[in-house]
Amino acid sequence: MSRDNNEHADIIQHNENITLGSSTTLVQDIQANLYRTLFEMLPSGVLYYDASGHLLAANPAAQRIPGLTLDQLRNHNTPFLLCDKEGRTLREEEWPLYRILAGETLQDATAIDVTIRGPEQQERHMNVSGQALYDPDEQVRGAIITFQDVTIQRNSLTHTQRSLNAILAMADAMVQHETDWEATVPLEDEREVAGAPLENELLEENMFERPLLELPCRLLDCQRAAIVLIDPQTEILIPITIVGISPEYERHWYNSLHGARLHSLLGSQEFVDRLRAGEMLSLDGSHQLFRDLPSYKLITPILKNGELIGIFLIAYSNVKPTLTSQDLAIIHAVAKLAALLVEREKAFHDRNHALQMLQNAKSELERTSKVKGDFLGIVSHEFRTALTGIQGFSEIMRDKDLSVVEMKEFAIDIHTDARRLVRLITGMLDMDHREAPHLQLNPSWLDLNAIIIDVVARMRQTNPDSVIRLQLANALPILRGDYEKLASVVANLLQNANLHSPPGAEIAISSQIEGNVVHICVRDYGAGLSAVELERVFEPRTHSDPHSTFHIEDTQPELSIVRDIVQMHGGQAWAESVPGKGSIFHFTIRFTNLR
Amino acid sequence: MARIVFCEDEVLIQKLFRVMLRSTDHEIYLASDGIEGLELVERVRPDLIFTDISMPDCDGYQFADAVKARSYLAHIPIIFVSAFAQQAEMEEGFRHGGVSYIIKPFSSADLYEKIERFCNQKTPRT
Repeated sequence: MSRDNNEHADIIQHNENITLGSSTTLVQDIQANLYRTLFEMLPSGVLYYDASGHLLAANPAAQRIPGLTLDQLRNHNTPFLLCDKEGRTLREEEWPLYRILAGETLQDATAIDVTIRGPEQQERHMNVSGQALYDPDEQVRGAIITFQDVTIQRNSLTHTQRSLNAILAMADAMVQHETDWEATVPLEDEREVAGAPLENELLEENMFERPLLELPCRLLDCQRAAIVLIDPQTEILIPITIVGISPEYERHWYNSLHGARLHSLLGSQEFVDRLRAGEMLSLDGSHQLFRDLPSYKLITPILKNGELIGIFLIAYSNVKPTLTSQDLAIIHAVAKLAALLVEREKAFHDRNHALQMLQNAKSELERTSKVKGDFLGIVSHEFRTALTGIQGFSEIMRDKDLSVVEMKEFAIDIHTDARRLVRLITGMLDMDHREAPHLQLNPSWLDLNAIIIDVVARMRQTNPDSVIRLQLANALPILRGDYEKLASVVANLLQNANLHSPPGAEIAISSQIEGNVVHICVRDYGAGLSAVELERVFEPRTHSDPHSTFHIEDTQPELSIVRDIVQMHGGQAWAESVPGKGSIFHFTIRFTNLR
Repeated sequence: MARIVFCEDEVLIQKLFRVMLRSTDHEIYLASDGIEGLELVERVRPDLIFTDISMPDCDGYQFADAVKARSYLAHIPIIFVSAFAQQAEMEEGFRHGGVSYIIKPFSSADLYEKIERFCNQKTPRT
């Protein structure tokens, strides 16, 4: 302060030299007057304290800036708390006044920022300078404190910093996202991707982009915001990221937005057109977008090459917010970043979708081609084997002189192989049926006893040697089922029993009513099945190994088809067996509840 | 006259083989899988072996491997008789020491041709 005094004195001296001539009292008067004027006029608050901290003088700005009277200042009787920049309340010895009285000089770089916080938490930021006044004995005589209100500057700085942080966080979120994509390309998973690739998965998957919205929200002082993608073909909305006051609230927004169409959300095509033209819409509470409290909403178009690809939606309370040009700049920045994000999101999903489709198509093709190859291999092998007898024996009959008995014998052999060929063809057709993705039932009202009698009659014709004993219930309820398929169940089980029976051994088939099911048993006295065979008896045989002893023909009936057909009729199929003593195959069919 | 072992699990094809060769003076020995086949080969030391490929328990390839692994049997020519008509199957046969193959269905002429070719070469007999 002393330096300032001297400066002022110099100026005054100088002026006086030019204009006033020398008069000590006059100079002192002018000096005092000038000081007073300066004191009164200074835009900064100036406080003058004695050595014990009593306020001696305060200029008008010192009262105006904090809005206090001289008395309040004098008695330290203010409603304010003094805080540091971090918001911590300062202890008395930390007050600028007492630091200065203790001999500290606060000036320029050492000037300090304090925050005064009012009873309603309103804050103002002050930059405080000051210096102690000394008497000739170097004793502290008092203190001069100046301060100015830097609230606007500080807020602006904070705002700028937070904007920068927000932009950085958004950039981070996108970079992070990139890494995540690379790490988690879900190529092998089982997700249904054939449908719309940009729909349902999005909420769960993309809510990790919240950082993109959270900071701008804080910055713009709004609690609810969303980035919403618009499907260009259907105009259907797909929320990408939502920030709300609670997870439930976010869910509410998600449900309201997801799948809606833009024009129905906005309630007018005009709004859509304005968004398409790049205009930011501000809607007051009278435009209720969805079941929500009336609120002031800002909708910013997200454009890519002039095409509307999404919207950035911000909701305030019902009071119209005052948005600075900086706020608007942030909103536009978010919309632009969101455009990038949306594009990449689409590219990512398109790429994944395409990859997945390719992968599916490739494995399907490989599978089909393998199945086809295997199948042709097996068919060729079986046909050639059956034809060997036909060709060979007919050749002998043609070329050799044979007795009638031999002729007859070879004709029987040829006939056997011809029958085998027929069964092969039937088997192939069955197999085709089996490999069809869904067996279709063709239900009618039927009697299982009638089916059994029918199948057994046919079997006796083709296998005259087989001994089949019927133990049928006197009467069975008529039930609904597929006649042909149930007949093939019975035929398969009987053939299986026949195959595993020694020649001439009896096979028994029985039917009986148990509760709401008809229970059929097929019993043979063959070699029986081991525990392992029993466990796998209903499993489909694989056709993958052409060297396996698998045959298409009915010498090995496919029992998996038995189980499938029975289950389709709401029944169960199972088997029991004692090795060396034979097996019993069971199945049940319910009277009702045909699936 | 040649001694011929035929390894085949299908009874009807065994019968056909026998019938086709019954007017010749060759001795025919039949086995229904590779294990039986090896026993037979050990016992009769044939001049020629015909074998099916697809057989239960011990298939034609395993049978051929077992024959080729015995130095005192390794010279016996093996001809695969199979309904597998693809090139890969045939080549697989050569890898297991086969000298030729016949694809089912086959004719008597196929059999005569092979017997003549491989028996005259190896063990000329009249």
